[in-house]
Amino acid sequence: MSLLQDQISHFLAPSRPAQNPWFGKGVADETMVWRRRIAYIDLTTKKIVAKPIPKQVRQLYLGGRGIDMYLLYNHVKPKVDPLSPENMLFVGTGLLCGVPALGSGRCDIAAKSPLTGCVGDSNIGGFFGPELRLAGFDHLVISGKTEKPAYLWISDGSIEIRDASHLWGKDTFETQEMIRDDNKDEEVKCLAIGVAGENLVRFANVRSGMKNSAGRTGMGCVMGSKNLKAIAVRGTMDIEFSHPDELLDYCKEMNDMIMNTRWARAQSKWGTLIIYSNTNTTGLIRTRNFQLNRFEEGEDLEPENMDRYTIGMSGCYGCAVHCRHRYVLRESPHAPIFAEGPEYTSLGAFGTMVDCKKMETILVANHLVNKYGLDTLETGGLIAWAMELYEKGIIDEKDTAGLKLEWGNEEAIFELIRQIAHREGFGNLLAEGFKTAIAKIGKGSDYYAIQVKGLSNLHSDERPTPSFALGIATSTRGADHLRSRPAIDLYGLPEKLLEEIYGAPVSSDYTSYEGKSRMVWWQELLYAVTDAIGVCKFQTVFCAVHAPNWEEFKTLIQLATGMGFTKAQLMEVGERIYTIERMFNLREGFSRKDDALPERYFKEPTTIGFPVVRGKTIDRDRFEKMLDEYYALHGWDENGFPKKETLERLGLDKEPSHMVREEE
Amino acid sequence: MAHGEELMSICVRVVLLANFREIVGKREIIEEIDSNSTLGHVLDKLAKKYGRDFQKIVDQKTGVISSEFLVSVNGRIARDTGIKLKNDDVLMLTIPAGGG
Amino acid sequence: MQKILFIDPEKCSGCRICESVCSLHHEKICNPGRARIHVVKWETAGLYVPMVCQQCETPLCETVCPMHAIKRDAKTGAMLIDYDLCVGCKLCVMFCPFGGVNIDSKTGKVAKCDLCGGEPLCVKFCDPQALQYLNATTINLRKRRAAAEKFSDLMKKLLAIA
Repeated sequence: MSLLQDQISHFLAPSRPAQNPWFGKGVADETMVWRRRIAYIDLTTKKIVAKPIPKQVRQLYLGGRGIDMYLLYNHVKPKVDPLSPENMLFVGTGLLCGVPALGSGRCDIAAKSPLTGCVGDSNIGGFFGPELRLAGFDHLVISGKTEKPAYLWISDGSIEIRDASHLWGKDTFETQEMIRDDNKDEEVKCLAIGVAGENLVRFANVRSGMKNSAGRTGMGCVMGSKNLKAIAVRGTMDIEFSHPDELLDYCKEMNDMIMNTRWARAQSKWGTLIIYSNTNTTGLIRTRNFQLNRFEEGEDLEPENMDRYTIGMSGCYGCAVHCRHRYVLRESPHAPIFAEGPEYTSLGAFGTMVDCKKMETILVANHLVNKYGLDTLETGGLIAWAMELYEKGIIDEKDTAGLKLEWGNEEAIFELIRQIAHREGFGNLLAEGFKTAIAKIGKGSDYYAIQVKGLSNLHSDERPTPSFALGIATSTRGADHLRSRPAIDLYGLPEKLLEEIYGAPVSSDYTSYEGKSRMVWWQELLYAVTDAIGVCKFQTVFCAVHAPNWEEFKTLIQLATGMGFTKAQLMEVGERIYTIERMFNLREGFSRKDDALPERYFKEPTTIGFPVVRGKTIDRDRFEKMLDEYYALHGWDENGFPKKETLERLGLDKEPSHMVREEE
Repeated sequence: MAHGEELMSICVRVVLLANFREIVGKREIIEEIDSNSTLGHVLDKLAKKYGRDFQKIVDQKTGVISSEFLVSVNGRIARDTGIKLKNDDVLMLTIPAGGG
Repeated sequence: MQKILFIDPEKCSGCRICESVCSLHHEKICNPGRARIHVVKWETAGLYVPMVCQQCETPLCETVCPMHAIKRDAKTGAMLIDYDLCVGCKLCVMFCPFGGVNIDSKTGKVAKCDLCGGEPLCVKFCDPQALQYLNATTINLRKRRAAAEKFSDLMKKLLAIA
């Protein structure tokens, strides 16, 4: 039996019920870092079992998204209905959770996505992850379904399933407050769904705090399908590290490293809204769904206009950058609102894509989606699409039950958000997501949908930027900018530096195709590891070229856990995570034809913006060539199936549920 | 239309974002410059006028645009200060920011 | 003169790095519950207040301690617990009006801020500068300047100065 099979059978074998593993005198031995547990919770049988996480699995997948994907692939059988009890929800803290640097409290939530049918996965910041680790658990595997609404109560070493009937119907803010009140502890941290998750809106998200969200791919819908209203945790135990003193010094170095970048300084003041200043001025922003590539009248959305609403900037656990606005809206018809956000994504969702020119519209809509527990991006993307269909006469007021989906109609947008969350009226159709909505509407509506594999794209216009375009086509969770977005492509860095970073020539021109497949591949590996160790992408090469990446990750892992990795080994972990995600998707029936872009990318040229971005489409032949190069870099064949030698090299060839190609 | 040695002045638009906008207090300014000016000339002029971060745009050691900042001319990222400018060119001065 | 660990709650981002580094430095583990500083949050109001021992001029902890185990450190001015004398009666915890003394959940002993011997780590790591380590004169002047800046904006408007 291979080492891997050994570990899997260890995982699957029944074990003692959850007990508090920490009482007693903890001796500082070399296993201290490994005492953290994975808990299997079956909501149908109410059986809860906790086991240690084998060190070998850590070495292969690290933690967070890495282990979550490994578990997803091995536990969720092919063709499972994502809304059935057979789907499983995986919650995983990053390997470095608790380290006071780089925003290392991030947590990964995964399942088979009810929106796309492929890998469902979303990352959440805030404070839930560290609290889960303080309670002694690093990973949760939740299967089955309760008959009545329930929430998980996790405290030092123990897990209970509690009644949540009194929480059902409550928004994400009230839910968290009520759980804290019920347990008489203000320090309880929660993952909660709002009414959107309860109503099985396919892109319902999971929320924590005032705005932290595991936004994409409908993880809140999966929770709702299990009648799981929330996961609440309160942990008071220690998080141990293998080299605490050196780690402390290195954390200072890391925080200084990131705060010395102009990017982090700007972000700590203006949040992610600062990105908009650059991208909209240049002409890289979807406007009116996809009709234009710059929001000409969008100056009110620039971050300086947020100042009049902002009362402070908040940070997630372990983050020196503090990029979240806390804002107050006092004078609108929807006031008073106290909320956190908005992010760059929301600027697009409720601003540029739907032709709303005022910051206030976004501030209200941001609050609504957070309250109801909806993915801001998906919501905005679908509404923008619906507005274009309305403009083109493909749908009309009969279809929208009277809603006037005219560009810029903010009241219609607020009402549609409410309808989507409650599955009412036209919102009920949009609540199904692109795949079903396209099928139901027909009439060529799919031409206007800016989505890949059923997931909406960001408000980014990738026609001028081949690297970004390749990234959204190949992302394992659908059109997604976080799997690989090589933002440094926009910085015109010297080619010598790019070659150093990426290991081979990459053009410094963001409109070029040269070397961009390599860029995307490299970034995918880095972000897979970023999500597996649980640090914030904004403190990596995602944003600033001299920000932490492989070398720093290596050192942090060594000082926190004692595990030694070379850069090559870490990259291999990234490959393993990404390939196993690919294997999951292939098993579900996805293939090269799904690594595609909407037709409009090839057919409609950009029309405005700076001269260098005008008149751009993605060249179909060059796109296919990039895809070929990209597959080759991953060690996959020309159809995107991992080659035998790749599977062997990554240790994925002997998985018990290893995917087999039908032709073989 | 003059030829030869006669210098005409041209106007370029300078879009100021992030810290540059903070310093100047405006989002956009028009700079009048000689017709054979380079990017370096404009940056020099702005550095003298506004000081502070404007003085750090060009790396004194290497003579190219510092990687701390992002300067584009008509959308194309500029490293070399010797780029010749034309009438109605649009410069963008900002910091590198492109995440998501 | 000795420096003071001064808190400016308006600047606090709620990141809790101070709690992590405090426990990592003193206890060699990360556990906010065992840190000597704690950020109290009212999340739905966006209010974050770091709470730590104020190293009072007339410390109540020193007054109530039956073992005279809490004494002023000559170098930093911090009130330090002498663990050879401390019996863990917890009267200091009871009487401190700031919650400045912890009962350590693991060891049962009491613990408090010792200013890390003169180089407080929480201050070192606090990027928003909600925690500062300054002498009294500097604190006074900074607070006044910050307030005056708000006035100056108003005055500029009133006097129509550009």
